[in-house]
Amino acid sequence: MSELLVEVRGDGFPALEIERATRALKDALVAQLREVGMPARQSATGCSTQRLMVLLRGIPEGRPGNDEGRRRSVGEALQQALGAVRWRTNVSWGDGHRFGAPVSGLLALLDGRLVPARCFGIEATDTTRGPASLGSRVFRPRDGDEYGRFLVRQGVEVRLAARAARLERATHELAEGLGLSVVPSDLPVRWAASCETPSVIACRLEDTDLDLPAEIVAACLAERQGALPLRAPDGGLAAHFVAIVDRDDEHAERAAVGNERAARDHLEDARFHWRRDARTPLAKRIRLLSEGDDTQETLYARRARRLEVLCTLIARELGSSEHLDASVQAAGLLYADRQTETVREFPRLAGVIGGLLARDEGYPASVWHAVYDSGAAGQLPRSRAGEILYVADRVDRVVEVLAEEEPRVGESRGEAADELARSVVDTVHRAGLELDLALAIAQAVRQRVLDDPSRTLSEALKVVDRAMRGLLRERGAHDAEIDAVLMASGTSSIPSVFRRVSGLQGLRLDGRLTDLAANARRLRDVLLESREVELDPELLEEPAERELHQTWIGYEARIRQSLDEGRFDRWLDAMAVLDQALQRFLGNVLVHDANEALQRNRLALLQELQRAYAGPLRLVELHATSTKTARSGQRAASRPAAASG
Amino acid sequence: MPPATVEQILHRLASFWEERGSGLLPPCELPVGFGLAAPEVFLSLFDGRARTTHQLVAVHRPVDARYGRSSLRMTRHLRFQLVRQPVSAGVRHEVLDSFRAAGFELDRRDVRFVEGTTSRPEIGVRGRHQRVLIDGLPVARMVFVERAAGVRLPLSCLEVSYGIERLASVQQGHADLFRIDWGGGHATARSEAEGSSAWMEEERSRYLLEVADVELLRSQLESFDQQASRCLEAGLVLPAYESALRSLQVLEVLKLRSLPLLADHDLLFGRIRRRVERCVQLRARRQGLDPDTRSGAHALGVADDPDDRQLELTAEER
Repeated sequence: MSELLVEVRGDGFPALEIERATRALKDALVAQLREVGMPARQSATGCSTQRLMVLLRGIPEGRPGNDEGRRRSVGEALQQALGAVRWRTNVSWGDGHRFGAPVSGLLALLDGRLVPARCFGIEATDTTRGPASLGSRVFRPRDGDEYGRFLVRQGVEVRLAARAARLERATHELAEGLGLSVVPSDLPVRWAASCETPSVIACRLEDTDLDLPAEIVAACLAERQGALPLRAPDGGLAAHFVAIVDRDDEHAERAAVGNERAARDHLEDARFHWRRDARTPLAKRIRLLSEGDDTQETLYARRARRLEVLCTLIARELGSSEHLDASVQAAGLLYADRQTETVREFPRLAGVIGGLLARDEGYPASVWHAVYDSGAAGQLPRSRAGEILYVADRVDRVVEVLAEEEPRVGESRGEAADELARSVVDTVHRAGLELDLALAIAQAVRQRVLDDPSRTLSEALKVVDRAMRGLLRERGAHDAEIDAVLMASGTSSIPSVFRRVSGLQGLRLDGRLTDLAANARRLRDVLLESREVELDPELLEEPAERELHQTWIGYEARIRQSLDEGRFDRWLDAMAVLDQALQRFLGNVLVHDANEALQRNRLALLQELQRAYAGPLRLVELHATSTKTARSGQRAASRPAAASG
Repeated sequence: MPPATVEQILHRLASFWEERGSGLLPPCELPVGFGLAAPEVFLSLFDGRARTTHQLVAVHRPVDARYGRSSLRMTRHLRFQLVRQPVSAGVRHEVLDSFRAAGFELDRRDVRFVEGTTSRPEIGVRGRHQRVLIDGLPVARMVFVERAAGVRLPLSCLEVSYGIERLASVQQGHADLFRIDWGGGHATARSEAEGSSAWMEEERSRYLLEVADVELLRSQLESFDQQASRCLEAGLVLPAYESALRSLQVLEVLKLRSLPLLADHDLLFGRIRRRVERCVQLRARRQGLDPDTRSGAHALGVADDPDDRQLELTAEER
């Protein structure tokens, strides 16, 4: 079997795209080779900002004497494959070449022999190079194993995931060695993407360097220095941080002094902005926001006014009038920090900075917490006023994004709306807010001048529905379960939807649910086109119908209560007893009796029961969908293995 | 090898790039916020000629006024600026070699490249960049420029700008930029003579952050803008561009003094930006290029590939 080794070297491929690009190169190469009758059985990839590597093994050997022809075919396949790799942003160089970065070298070996290929104006060679910053040593590997050993000797772990895992481990070990802990961050992954021979070093700050809010220190270290702050045992920030260096030898530690100096300078800079920001009271900022025409600032002012109305509506819907004033006051302050220097430096601190400034100006905790929490990513607001403001703000922004007329750059309108809706639904669910989001969305739409408000409203409701389904799926719910709950109860209470779906999930393996669903469907069929009639217990003659009636009377209250409380286990226990009685009724009693009075009475009994069966879970729908899913699963399972593969 | 002085670093960098075909441009005399805006460079970006040039630029950055307390932020500092059109492959190796030539023993230091996006809306430049950090300190930046003044460049452009004082401070091991050795064994005296001493930075900061008069600045801004407009009407590209650059500097100070908010900033900024674009259009027409079409080998066209959508002007830039 043959082996193909390809390495594309460049002047800094975009770190966040290298993994995807390398996979695309591998896929394209495999596809091209398959077309020329050289399918690869095994593949491996590796990448850094300096090199994209693909190793294919298990390629069938060709006819003896045809080596040159095979290498030529591989060369052509490589040229095609490189042309198929797409980057979000390209760099142009030379005579109009375009790629993720200028390509400076290409290694292509088939069974250790050079593959003739010319890409981006350069010929493929049989040599690779070590890291550029470490002297770029040239090496001629004979195969993939030797290539890997050379890179390891140069300190390069070419597998991105392994590099990230190593850094993550080293960071934690470093922190633990200092008796500290790591602030959760994606920095190790980003470090691994941007450095080829990374290692981590511990750096120190003076205590006086930390005389800033911890949020600013952390953002400053991470965003300006690319360094990871550490936490002291008391939860506060420690006067240490972890820095990344792109070498893994005895000289790495020398970089600590430079990193400490740079971090101090960045913190000094942040301090300068923070102090200047504190000189202008938020009230003055709000006044200034309202002045001027159609600038970004006046847009913020208008948004703040819309939020005040939305907060009022949400607080009333939640019956939280005691939190109304705080949420409305916080709404007025929420965007006041957008023109602070600190937020311009660190946009992800928007809201957080407003909250801190409000705290320092003496606003009540309920107000500054609400402002702060609106900007704090990933955590639930700590007060009801904060929850109200958070939901109002995100709902307003969902509508704003959907109402945009011009296409966005980068992230699509749909993606932005989905992300916002997800945060709304997640917060409403986690905070247990009994709020009909449709009302808030409708209000948010009403507050804008839109060409087609009903379209925006409908889109917003769809986005919320999508977000809710997405979150439920992430919790392991099946579409059939989600549909069953949503079709019955709608989205008027998100916490209730989550409770019901979760309860239903708990019953998934309980065979009684299938019986229940089957009987629910039989009930529906029997009662099809029957008119509403009233039950007369005196007319119940047969033992099975009397038993069913007695069971229903005995269990009705329990069934309703367990549903209200979302206790589906209890609900199923009660329904199972009722179901057995129904089963006996359907087996022993003729519903369509010749005696019309008896027939009407039996239908009346079943109509009462149907309310319990159909109930909020729409068992009939669940049964139908489950059956469909099961059938499609059976079809998939019965397909020939080759076709599914 | 003993640490290099500022003078030596400049000389070595110039020699290094001259050996690679770079031509020396006269120092930029105008107050520019970044080297690419220097008229000698910027107005030549659009002619489609291959070139490598280097130049010494005194960068003026009012927004970086910090009373001299931060070595990362100075109102004025020196940059050695290299511009190459078109971009060539292997430039990262060349840049690393230039550091070695300037006296850095890279086998004992940590060198990192940190990528990002450079946006210079004043002259409509956007591109990907790589900051070069030596031992964690930013010392240089490579920018791949695809567009300027809102149009796609006929030849891609690489800008490498070295922060000279910063390079010297890293090599000499001084955290304080005001104590670096400029050469000739007269560190302090030379430093003051070059205008980079601490008291100058502090006084400039005081002027920019505390003293500059807003009304006077507005009037200056209007004057420069009117001059730019008159020059454009007369078809004088260079004076118009120089006036626009001066307007930009005044606007920076005005923004700094209008705490917390300069309400008509976008309006004023947009006006200057349009003057710059007009300068480029006039210059291109004079060179026989058509900035509005894609005909001709060096036409300044509106590009149609997907990347260009990423480089469209943001709302802020507009």
